[in-house]
Formats: sequence, C-alpha cells, structure tokens
Amino acid sequence: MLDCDRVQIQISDFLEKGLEPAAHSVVEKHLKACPECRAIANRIPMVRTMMGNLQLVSCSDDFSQKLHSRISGELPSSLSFAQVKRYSYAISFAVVIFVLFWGVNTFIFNESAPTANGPVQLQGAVTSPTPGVTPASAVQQTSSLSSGQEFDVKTAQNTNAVVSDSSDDDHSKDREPRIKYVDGTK
Amino acid sequence: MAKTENESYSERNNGRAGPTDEELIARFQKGDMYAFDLLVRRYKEPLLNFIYRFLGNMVEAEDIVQDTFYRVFKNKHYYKEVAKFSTWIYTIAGNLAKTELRRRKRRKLFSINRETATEKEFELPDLVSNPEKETDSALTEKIIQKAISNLPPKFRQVIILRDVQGFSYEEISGIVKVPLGTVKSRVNRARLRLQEELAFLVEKKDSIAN
Repeated sequence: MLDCDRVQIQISDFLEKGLEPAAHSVVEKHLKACPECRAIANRIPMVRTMMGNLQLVSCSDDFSQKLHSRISGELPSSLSFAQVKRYSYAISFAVVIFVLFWGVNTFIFNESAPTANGPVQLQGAVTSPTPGVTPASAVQQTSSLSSGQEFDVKTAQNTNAVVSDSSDDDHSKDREPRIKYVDGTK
Repeated sequence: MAKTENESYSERNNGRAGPTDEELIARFQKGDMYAFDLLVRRYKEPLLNFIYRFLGNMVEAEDIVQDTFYRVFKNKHYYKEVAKFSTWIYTIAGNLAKTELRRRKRRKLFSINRETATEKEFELPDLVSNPEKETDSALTEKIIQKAISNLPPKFRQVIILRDVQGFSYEEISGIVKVPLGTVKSRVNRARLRLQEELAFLVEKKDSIAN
C-alpha cells in the first residue's frame, strides 16, 4: 500500500481522472483505508467549486476610453519600422516632389534676379496700417525713395516681405507703409 | 466563471460566435482597429479577474490590464500564430503582474502601512439582496482571496489559471513557460495548501448544506 505523501502527490491527477487505471485503483484503495487522505480528497473538489464561484469583477466604465487615449497619445512616438516601411513609397515621392519644386524655384529665382547693381535688399517687413494692402501696392505708395536706391517689386513679392494689419499702432500718426532697408534708411 | 471539467479555456471561448482570436489579431496586424477593439472587449474582464485574484488589488489589476493591451497594441507584429492568442496575452499579463509583485515587495520595505491602505481600495459589488447572505458571501470571498494571496506566486498563478479561469494544463504550461509536469505538480501543491487553509470553511459550508 502507498504511503500518504505519495497518494497526496497524485491526488489531483486521481480526482481529474488523469492516472493510469492501475495507479488509479491503488490510490482508490488507499483512500478507502485512510480517513486523513480521504478528507483531503473530499475537500479539494469543494475548494475548487468555491474558487470557480468567486465573484467576477468588472473593469471601470472608462476603461476603453483610457486605453484609447493612451494609445492615441503615444501614437507618433510608436511609429514602428514596419509602418515607416509601409509608407516608404509615399515618403520618397514627397521628398522627390519637394526637391524638384525647390530646384525649379531656385532656378527661376536666380534667372530673374539682377546681378550687377542689384536692388536694395529687403531686411524686414513691409507693413501697412491699412488691411488688404498688398506688398506691390505698398511699394507703389513709396514715392520717398532716395535717388540712389532702387526697389524691385518682384523681389519684394518673392522675399519674406509681409503686409500686416498693425491695428495696434496709432493709425492717425502712421498711415504710410514702412519699408526697412538694409542700409537703415526708411 | 462557468466552466466544465475537461474543457479548455480556448475550447469554451472558440465556441462563441464571430471570428476567432487568431483571426482578429491577424486583422489587427493589418491595421484593423476594430479587430483590436473586439479583442479588448473579449479579454478585458477575464484578464482583470486573473490579475485581481493574483494581486488582490483592483486598482493595480486594472492598471496592469491597461498595460497588457497597450503592449499588445505596440507589439502586435511580434505575435506569431504558432501559439494561441489567449496564451500570448495571458503571458504578457502574468509577467506584468509578477513585476508588480516584485515592485510591491520593494515598496513594502519603505512603507509597512501600505498593505492596510490598499485593502480598503476595493469592495466587492453588491449582488445579493439578503444582507445576511451578502455578509456571508463577502466574508467567504475575503477568506478565499486571503488564502490565495498566502500562496507563493508560482503556485498562485497556476491555481488561478486552472481553478478560477479554467485553463487546461497544456495551456497553463504555455502561459507560464514551464513543463507540463511542473504545472501539474504546482497545481496539486496549491490545492493541498488551499484545502488545508480553507478546511474550516469547507466544513462550515458542508454542515449548512446537510
């Protein structure tokens, strides 16, 4: 006959009918004779039932919402290599278009820009107190250019000359558009 | 959790209508977010119950389930269909829970009172109308949970997966990454300890039933 320790090692297999028929009958024989092991064999299924009947808990109502906000919050940093690979054609196409556009634009700009005694370079902003006044019209208003200075309208349009509505300024005092030149003259 | 003997977790769950977990993760790997949502809906409650029984704390359990899905989302391309999806996701959740347990041990070194503070964080929902029954049921829950928490983590994990969640031994072996024989031995030892600790409760229930 088996001792109690050896029976208890096999008790789960015995209860779940996982033992060979010969081993099963040996354990069964022991249980009939041993009240201690029999009590254990009786208690285990009851404990299992109690564990199986434990109350189920549920996630909070905003579980999915929290998860999605976490995922969407970290999406840009989690752009994987596979995703980059997937969009590689689109990215390459965009880069080629950008380079072509930049190249053509630079070429045209260089073609049209005068080389000798070129125009006075604009440094800052062309501002007009009147909203809707374009850089060209703003330039046309500037009759006060000194004789040595030459202003090119095309250059003004192509540089970062900006016409802004300086509504915070005192309109009554300053109604003339201001052009700031590199040499400091107005 | 309703389950029958000799029926594995995945057999029960694959019996449900709709696409299988493996079909859903395949769709999700191709960028279908709706498939991911379906997986979240399927697994959030079972995972929460697993982690809650393992850690005994509802707030931490929900955080870990969140982390689990976040990892699934981030590492979806690492899943290969050689294993079941349920095995994969339970492995992730189990590992995160064990990490949390280690972290908790370290924290305990600094704060002795923390355990009593976290115990108050969660109360089981009221489902029973009879106040006497309610008290009895809540008390039984607490006693069983305490007995589970007293088990060493490696026994605790397998007994929850087997007797609370209803996984087969083979599935548990895949989740905890230990041989089948070791899983069976751990489950048996966990049951022996639990029946010893819960003997008074079993006898009480038995006497009420008779």
